[in-house]
Amino acid sequence: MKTVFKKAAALALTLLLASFLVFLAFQLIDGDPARTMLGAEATEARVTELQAELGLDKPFLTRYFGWLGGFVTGDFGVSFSSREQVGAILAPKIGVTVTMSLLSFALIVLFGVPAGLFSARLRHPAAVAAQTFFDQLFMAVPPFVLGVGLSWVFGILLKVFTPLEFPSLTADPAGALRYLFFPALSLAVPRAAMTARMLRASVREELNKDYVLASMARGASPRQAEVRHVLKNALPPTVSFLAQTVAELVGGGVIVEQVFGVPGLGGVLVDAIGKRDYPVACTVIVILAFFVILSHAAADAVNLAADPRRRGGEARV
Amino acid sequence: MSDPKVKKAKKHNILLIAGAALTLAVLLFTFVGAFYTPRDPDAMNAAEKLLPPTLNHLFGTDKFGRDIFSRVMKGTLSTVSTALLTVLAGGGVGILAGAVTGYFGGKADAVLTRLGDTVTAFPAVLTALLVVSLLGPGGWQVAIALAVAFIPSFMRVSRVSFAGQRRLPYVISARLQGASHAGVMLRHILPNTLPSLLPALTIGFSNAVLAEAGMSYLGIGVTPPDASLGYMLSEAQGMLALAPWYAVSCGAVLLAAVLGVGLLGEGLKDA
Repeated sequence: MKTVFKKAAALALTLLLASFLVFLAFQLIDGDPARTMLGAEATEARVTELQAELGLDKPFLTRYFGWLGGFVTGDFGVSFSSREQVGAILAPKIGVTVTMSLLSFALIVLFGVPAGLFSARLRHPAAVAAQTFFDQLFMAVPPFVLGVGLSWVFGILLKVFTPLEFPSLTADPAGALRYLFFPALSLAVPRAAMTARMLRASVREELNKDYVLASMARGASPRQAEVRHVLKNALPPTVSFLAQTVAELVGGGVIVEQVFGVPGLGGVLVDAIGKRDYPVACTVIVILAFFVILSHAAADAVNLAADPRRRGGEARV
Repeated sequence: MSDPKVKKAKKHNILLIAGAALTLAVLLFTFVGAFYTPRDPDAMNAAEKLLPPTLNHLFGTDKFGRDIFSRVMKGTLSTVSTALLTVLAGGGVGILAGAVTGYFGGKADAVLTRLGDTVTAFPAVLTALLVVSLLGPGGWQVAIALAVAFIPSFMRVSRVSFAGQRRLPYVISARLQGASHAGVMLRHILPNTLPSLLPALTIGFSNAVLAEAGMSYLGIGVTPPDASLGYMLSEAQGMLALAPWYAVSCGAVLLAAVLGVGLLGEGLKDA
């Protein structure tokens, strides 16, 4: 219980620190958004008026906590460029990005885990060399390059989907899912290869340990030993790695969304940065960072549940 | 029992050789591109539009009749030099910071590690986007942005290695013989951390290549006429149906750069 409490406190602190860093960064980028918005020929009075309107005349920390309070209650502020509520701008996009990321994550697990488990059993030197080569090859494929490749082969040559024409997620969910399969696959290929490699390495390491031999001496078949003992011990590094994968999906997703013209958070972010629309950009980045931090916490929780030794905390060394 | 070991060493040698060969080829392509391209990469030629690859135009031409081989050479130069700069700057600062905090430990170490962990929670591309919006778009700005984004990951690797070594007998005896802290770190610990630092540097280089290409694909990096591979890929995507060889050329060079360095790192790790 104490561990859970400690972890939760650390998580809250990390979230707070992340949001503070982003807010600070945007403060450094544009110390005077009111003047930027109004342009060079604006009168001093108008600038002051707008500063008051946007709450920019208050001290930095007051603004940060005001913004944070809004953020937790779902009030993300007003876009500088369109004057719309940031929440209203982002709401239709979040679903698309989350669907794409989940689809991609599912593909990574679906391909990476069985490939890792299966290939761990292959011991022939030629097979091992081939594994290393294919690992490196698939890991080297940049998602956005693969995305352009998939658009060419499946979009232009085979006409499985029409590139840059994304069907609406609400009006045509099946079409949208079929469309999202391709960006999700582009994102998944290198990470699935990394997952397989990681899992294979830890399974191999576990298979060489004495407890496997002991369990087989007690009459377990190699298969039983693997399923009952090895998997449980080999999983934690892979689970942690899959959590890091979420960060890559989020970062790579920004670019891959552009490759396929998927109307998600990535497009909003790039657009907002181009237009210096900081409330929007800041909100998107904080949401993405929270997404990443929370998935790390989830991986931690899974590993804690799988391995009681980790519950002791770090004090006993 | 010695037989499998010999075989193992041989396999890694193949990886190392293949990786080194591919990396050298990409570097050669890059450095030649700095001084010589077969054609003017930006010269348009209405008579030679959309030609598929031939001996005359190795990678074909685009819809303006520009020679893609020459363009890709120039794009590679811009991408690879930005990536090298990123690794030099980000790796230099990160390794130094990690070395100092790992070696001395204490409160500063705890605070910096916490900060680094939080920054690594942001995908590098996002951090780089943030820094680019601070500095404005352009080649130098992207290199700095990526360097900043990559500092925490280098710092982490170097911190772990230095923290692991600082209490070892050889470090203490070097100190007792009167070596300064800086001398111990540089002359004694650094060589021992190379096995973990070198792969981190090669991985950092591939990540930097991909991040630079990704950012310039988004139109944030290097601006035309100094186009980089990522920008060219987005240009190529616009003529995907007419001249697929343009996208294939850009993609193949990116893949070769990342694969070569990846194999090299894999070979180095076990060498």
